[in-house]
Amino acid sequence: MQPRTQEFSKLAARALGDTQVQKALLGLQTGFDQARQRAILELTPEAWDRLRDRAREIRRHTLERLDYYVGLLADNVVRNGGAVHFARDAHEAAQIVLDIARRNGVKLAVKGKSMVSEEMALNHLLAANGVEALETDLGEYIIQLAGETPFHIVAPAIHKSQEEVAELFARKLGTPEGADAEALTRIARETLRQKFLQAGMGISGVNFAIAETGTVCIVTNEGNGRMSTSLPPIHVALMGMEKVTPALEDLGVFYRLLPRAATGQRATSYFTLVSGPRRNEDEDGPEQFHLVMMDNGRSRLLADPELREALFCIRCGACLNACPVYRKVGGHAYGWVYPGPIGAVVTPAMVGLPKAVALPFASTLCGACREVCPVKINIPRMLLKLRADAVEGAPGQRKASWYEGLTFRAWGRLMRSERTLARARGVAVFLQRPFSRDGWLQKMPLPLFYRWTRGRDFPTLARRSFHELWEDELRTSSPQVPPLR
Amino acid sequence: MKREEFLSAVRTALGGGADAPIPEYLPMMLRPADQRQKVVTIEARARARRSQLIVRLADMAARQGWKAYRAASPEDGMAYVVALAKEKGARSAVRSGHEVFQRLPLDAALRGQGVQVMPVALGPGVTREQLREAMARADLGITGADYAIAETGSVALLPRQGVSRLVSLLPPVHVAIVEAHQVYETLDDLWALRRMAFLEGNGDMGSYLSLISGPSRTADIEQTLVVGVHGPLEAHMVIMV
Amino acid sequence: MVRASLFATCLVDQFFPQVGVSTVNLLRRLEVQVDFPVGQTCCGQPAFNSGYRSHALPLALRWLDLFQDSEYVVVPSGSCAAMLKVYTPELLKDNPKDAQRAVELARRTYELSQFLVDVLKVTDVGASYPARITYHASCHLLRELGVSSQPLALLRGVRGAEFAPMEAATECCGFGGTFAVKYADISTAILAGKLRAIEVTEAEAVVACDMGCLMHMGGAMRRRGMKTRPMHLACSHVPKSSPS
Ligand code: SF4
Repeated sequence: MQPRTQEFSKLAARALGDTQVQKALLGLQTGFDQARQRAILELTPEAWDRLRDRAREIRRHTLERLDYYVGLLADNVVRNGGAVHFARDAHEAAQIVLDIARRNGVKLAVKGKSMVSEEMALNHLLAANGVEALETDLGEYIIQLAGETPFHIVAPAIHKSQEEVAELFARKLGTPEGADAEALTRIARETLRQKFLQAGMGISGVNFAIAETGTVCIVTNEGNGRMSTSLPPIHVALMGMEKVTPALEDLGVFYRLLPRAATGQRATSYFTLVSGPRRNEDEDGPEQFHLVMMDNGRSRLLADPELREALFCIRCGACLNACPVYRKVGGHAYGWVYPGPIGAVVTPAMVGLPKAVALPFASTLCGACREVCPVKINIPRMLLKLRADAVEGAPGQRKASWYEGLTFRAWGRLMRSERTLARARGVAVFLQRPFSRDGWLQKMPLPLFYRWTRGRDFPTLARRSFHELWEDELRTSSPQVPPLR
Repeated sequence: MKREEFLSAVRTALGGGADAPIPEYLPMMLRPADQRQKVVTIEARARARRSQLIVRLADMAARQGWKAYRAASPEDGMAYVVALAKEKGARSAVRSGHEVFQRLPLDAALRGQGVQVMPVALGPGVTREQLREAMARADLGITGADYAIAETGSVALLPRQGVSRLVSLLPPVHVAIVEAHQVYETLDDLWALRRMAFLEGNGDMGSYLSLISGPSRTADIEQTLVVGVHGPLEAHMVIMV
Repeated sequence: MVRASLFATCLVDQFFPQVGVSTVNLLRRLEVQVDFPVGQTCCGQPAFNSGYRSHALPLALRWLDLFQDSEYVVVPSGSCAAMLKVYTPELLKDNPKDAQRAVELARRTYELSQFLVDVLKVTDVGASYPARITYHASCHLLRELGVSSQPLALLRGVRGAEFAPMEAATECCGFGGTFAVKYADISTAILAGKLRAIEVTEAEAVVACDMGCLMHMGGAMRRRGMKTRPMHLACSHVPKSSPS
């Protein structure tokens, strides 16, 4: 995927003006977010909180020795008869998959949902080299047919209406128009069933990988994950290296958190554990198993103690559903694979902060993300850190507007001296007079600030500051009303 | 990129050297004897609470979208499956080679109804391709279970000889026959049991585990729940009490 | 007698001094001995939140110096209190001595409703306000300071007030400091939802504990000619309250 992170404002404006997108975003609130809340109540909020804390402990421990656990996972995958490939970046990872396809003469690959493969822009590379890569998750399939990128990490096509999907299917697949969600799903079932049976390679993502047993775990509802890992003769699993966890027992924590946080489910329809290729005695299953482990900026997050926590993420999408900004601008505005609050943290590590500088600032810091996160990632704190990096960080990281810099310098001067501030306010109170309407301004003739008054009035400076009121009236006065007791 | 290069980049990011000691992680430190002890406790607890667990399993399974049926006897269970085949107008069924079917003459019962039953077994004149064909065409896929988990209303299946991954996946209707002794309380129990299998198998716990908690489903279009995507459209859990 | 120093915040000092007056009157009425360290300006939040930590730093030190002898510091703003209590000790972490001072002062610093309920242990301050009111839970107050029940308890204690709960009261109003100008259109789009929620309450006043949010919501309510007015909690809790 080519980052379009620099176009955030433009893409956001487009989403704000798109009534269908706005309608879909409203639905996220009443759908996923409320389902999550119900699921937590069923489990009890106390139990939920204990799981979250335990998950944090496991993630912290694992990341502290990520080198060891990645190595252990690799050893055990090999012991299970699989092959492990290491990729520094997304480009390298995609190349590895292409090589496997080429070596085996693969013409058609079926894909389960994998956000990592979006980082790799894998479909494009494969297609350019004569390998058809077909998305099989319904949402991803829709997105692929439409030539778009995922809108949401859990529900990639959630921005499209049923009518739009029906129209798309009619255009691309020649199916009848006006089909409803159920009919469309059946069409996808029939169409993709044949492809599953023909495919030479199945590609999947990885939700968790167990180091001790060399097992990759895949969470799905549709069954396409099982199909892609059972039918084709080759299974390639793609994972970001942080997905490793030490022991099987950890699933007792993570597989309780993920379905609830993502879709409000107690359990997904399928939870699939793959430990290498089929054994001799097995009736079926792939003959080859490949695990591609990718860094792609993750070690940058790992190295920064203030950002490492971003690697705790289990990609549930809850923070997207809760974020007031995501709920207005949707997934495409962020211009990269991972949108929303967590996207604003990890994207700069993947595409570079100067290019993605709009994202950490595109937040009200309201903290809803942190509140809903199943691993309690303190996203606001990391956004603040990235903002500081962008403004005052290392030269290669910096990307600040000179105008804003000047404004804050002036502001800093004022705030450091109450005398200067008092003098400046005197001038400002005088200047604002002609514009004031009962204490409010309808226009602010200042760069940047003029935007405030596009939709809101702005208060005028009070005639007398609190400092003045204090000196004149309050300092020596006794309470204006008799005491209560 | 070479493994060593990759790991050393991670090490650099962590600010550590290659000589750091092996981290201690409690769940991984349980030796076989300890793990065995844990499993014995789990088994005992499950045995003691089996009848409650079965009720809970059926309840949770229903909430997960299974059609759950508690069979009073083997005959009752078979009758359920035969009636289901009839209701679906099923002409063919594939059946995995779980042990339960040695005790349950289900094939005969189904054949009596005119349903063609194909067990998953290579044999004279039966090739892998033919089996796969049969599974892709079958109206019913019938499996046993390796474990059933009350907490989530799930059935866990492990592939092996006679047990294909596809029986519970390709046909439009999946029937899982659960026996009482397979019912456990929580997911934690399952992971503990599988780790035991891992230790006993000298580091091999088999290639695959499918934890199935209902029929396939999606909500990818406008968050409308649609049951039946790539996997079964219907899932039945028959619990032999 | 409890002694408390008022940290008025820059918004109150410059734009909404009446909130400061109400706060002082309210506290005095509860027999708190209030002082106001002259020379205080801003907690540094605007700069800190925009990445300009070097400009926030001197203001953090100013707070430490001006309030070092205070028994309690009372702040009529959730986000400024969060800046002082949560972020300032972190901002000062490069200088352990200052960081330690900040941690200690942070412990004695309270947002107004928190101070009233948790320290003074009052929920009925004898206020009366015969009108329909609703409440917006400001994000930093709620999620950085964990203050959720205190303002509601205080509102329940207002005589004559008819409380109309707001749908999604804990959702952000879209202010976010400089976010409101940087991404003005997103900010107002978020705000629109909040305004609808306010509108259906048919309240005369929307009460909150942060003039940032109130200025944001208030500016839009005025622009749209809504009858609801923004009101700081301090103002709903003095006799003969009038909207700020
Ligand atoms: S940051 Fe937390 S809430 Fe957001 S996707 Fe990751 S795990 Fe889920």
